[in-house]
Amino acid sequence: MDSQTTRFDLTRRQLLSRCGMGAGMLGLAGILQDERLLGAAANAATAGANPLAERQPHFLPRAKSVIWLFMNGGPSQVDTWDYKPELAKRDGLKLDGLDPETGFFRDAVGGLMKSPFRFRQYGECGKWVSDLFPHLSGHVDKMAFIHSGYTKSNNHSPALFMMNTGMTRMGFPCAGAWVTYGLGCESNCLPSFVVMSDPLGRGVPKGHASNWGTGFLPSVYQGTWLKPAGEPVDNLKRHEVMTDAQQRRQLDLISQLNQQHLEDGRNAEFDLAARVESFELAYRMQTAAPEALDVNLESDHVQKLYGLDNEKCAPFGRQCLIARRMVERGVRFVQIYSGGMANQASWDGHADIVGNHSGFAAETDQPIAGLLTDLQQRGLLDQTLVIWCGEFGRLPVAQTGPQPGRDHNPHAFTAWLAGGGARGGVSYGETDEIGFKAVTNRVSVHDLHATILHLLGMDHTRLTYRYSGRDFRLTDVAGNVIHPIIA
Amino acid sequence: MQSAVYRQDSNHDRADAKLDPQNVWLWRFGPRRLEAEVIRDSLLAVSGLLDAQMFGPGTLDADSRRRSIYFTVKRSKLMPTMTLFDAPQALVSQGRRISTTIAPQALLLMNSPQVRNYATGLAGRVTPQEAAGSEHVVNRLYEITLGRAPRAAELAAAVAFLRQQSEAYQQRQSDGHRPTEEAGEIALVDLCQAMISLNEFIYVE
Repeated sequence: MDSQTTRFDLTRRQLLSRCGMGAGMLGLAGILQDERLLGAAANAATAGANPLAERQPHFLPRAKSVIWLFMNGGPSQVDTWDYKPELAKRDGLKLDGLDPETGFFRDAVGGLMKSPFRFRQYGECGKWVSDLFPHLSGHVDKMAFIHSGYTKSNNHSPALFMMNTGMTRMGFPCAGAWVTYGLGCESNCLPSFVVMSDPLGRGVPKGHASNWGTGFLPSVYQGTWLKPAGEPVDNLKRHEVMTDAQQRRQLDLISQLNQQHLEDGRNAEFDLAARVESFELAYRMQTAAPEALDVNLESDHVQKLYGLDNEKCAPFGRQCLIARRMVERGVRFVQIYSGGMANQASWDGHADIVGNHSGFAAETDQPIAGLLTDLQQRGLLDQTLVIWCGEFGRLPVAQTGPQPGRDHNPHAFTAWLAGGGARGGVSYGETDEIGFKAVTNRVSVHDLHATILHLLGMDHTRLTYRYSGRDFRLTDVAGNVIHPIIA
Repeated sequence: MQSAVYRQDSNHDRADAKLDPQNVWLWRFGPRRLEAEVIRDSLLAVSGLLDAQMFGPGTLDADSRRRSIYFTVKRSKLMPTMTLFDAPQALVSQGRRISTTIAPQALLLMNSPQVRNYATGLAGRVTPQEAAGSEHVVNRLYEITLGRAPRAAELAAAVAFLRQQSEAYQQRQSDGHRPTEEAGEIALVDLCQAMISLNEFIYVE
């Protein structure tokens, strides 16, 4: 049994949690001004009636929410944002010292291959960008580029887990789960962590639900995966036989009977009282969630901005627009995967890098540019951190075949951050002159995570959860905030 | 586990509750929410839909009617009903099952076709052969779901609900909407769904 103090602690927390659910006890937060009573430490979230109650960050945040655009499969840095003229000069030459096991297909290692895409300079910062991104290239002055990213695996699932959880093994909490654990849920009728995957039937990222799981954190922190087909969220639609009035009468009966149960000496049982309120919240969610997902409520002008009138990019555009509608309504962490599960169904351009990357860039370029423009026009970009990355980069050598591609490369990838406190127009870190390995100011995935948490107002070394006898972090025992990319 | 405190029952006592409303001094075994598996098994059991067959291979079919222990644990394909009620994700060992109260749990009980199905099953168990009256139905429902007879106020509330809900469905039918079942039967399913949503059903004392 818990000690007496723990029990008191629990009850206070439950009491406060009721405030987070929006009814009845709103005055209480003012009464319990003592910070210790308010349970500001994220550690306090292990139990209690509403573990999603909003919590204070460690310090003043730059970003309130995150939209993470995950280019699933591993986009090639040298064909997108990491311009390497030297690679063109050495086109066709053998890369000396290359371990043939670096990628995935040791028998298909070709010579160095120049980018088939043309690069030009854009923006005041003069950033070199390939022709893959005719729309995004107009936004380089908003982006902070990290060219020196590296990861720990050359295989999709472990690299996806690494990017999402900081560990290459499955079973650890994702960044979105950590953020929800640390900050709670701002919206009282929408989830805090939402994930969207490919809507064109090409599959989910490898490792499936582990990419939005909570590991050892309480299950409530797991991402809500919007199903790409059918009803996106379970149980939002009441049974067809019922009208609103009939459901309301049913909920009133539940509430009345629960109330009698409570008044029979159980008024102090906060779990039970919270459960009564959870039905009211659920009732509100039935209208709030479909409203947030309905992009048809947006003007023609906005829909066009995201490319909804263009068949090629409309599916991803719709997801980007949903993401904006969600962060606008208090959703904290949205992840959108571009591409489906395997090889040519994602950015995994083993064969035909031209066709593969051209296709996925065409699906995402205008929608992401539209998102950045729209966020800025609404004054949301300052408080919304937009992240673009994959799980790893690709090799500067060709993967041989009828139409050459590029194999996996854990030694270098490019990511960019925009908005939410990221410094626009800067490029941080460098790869070697052919884009093979990160060499200057190397950025680990832990560093990236530490920076994301920092922008959200959290010290990555203090966001801990005790499990299995020790305190765990998103950044394990590593991670340095990349201050030069922060505005 | 041999201590008097651990072994005491959960019976409520007004005098004790007045002295120690939050049960800080452990004058009774506090109410506990059922675990995910037990909630689903209980729903199946009261609905009469439970397939009690033992042994054999597990399943990933969410519509299975066997006990929840027969769900295959596939790490990449978690059972939403289970994780919703805090079943661990089974990726790493878990020393202690936590218990949360969140709105999606309420949504499941309100809107899930499965739960509606369980409520329909339960309604089938209490529908009287001849018109024995709604009081009889409510008594029987309380017996099945909560293991006790309703108090006067509860009985009155449930009977009034059946009447009003049934009238509302009749009204809709006459307005040209045509639900497939009879208005009274739908109202009874609504009541059954309310019963299995109650705190008293989901929490044990």
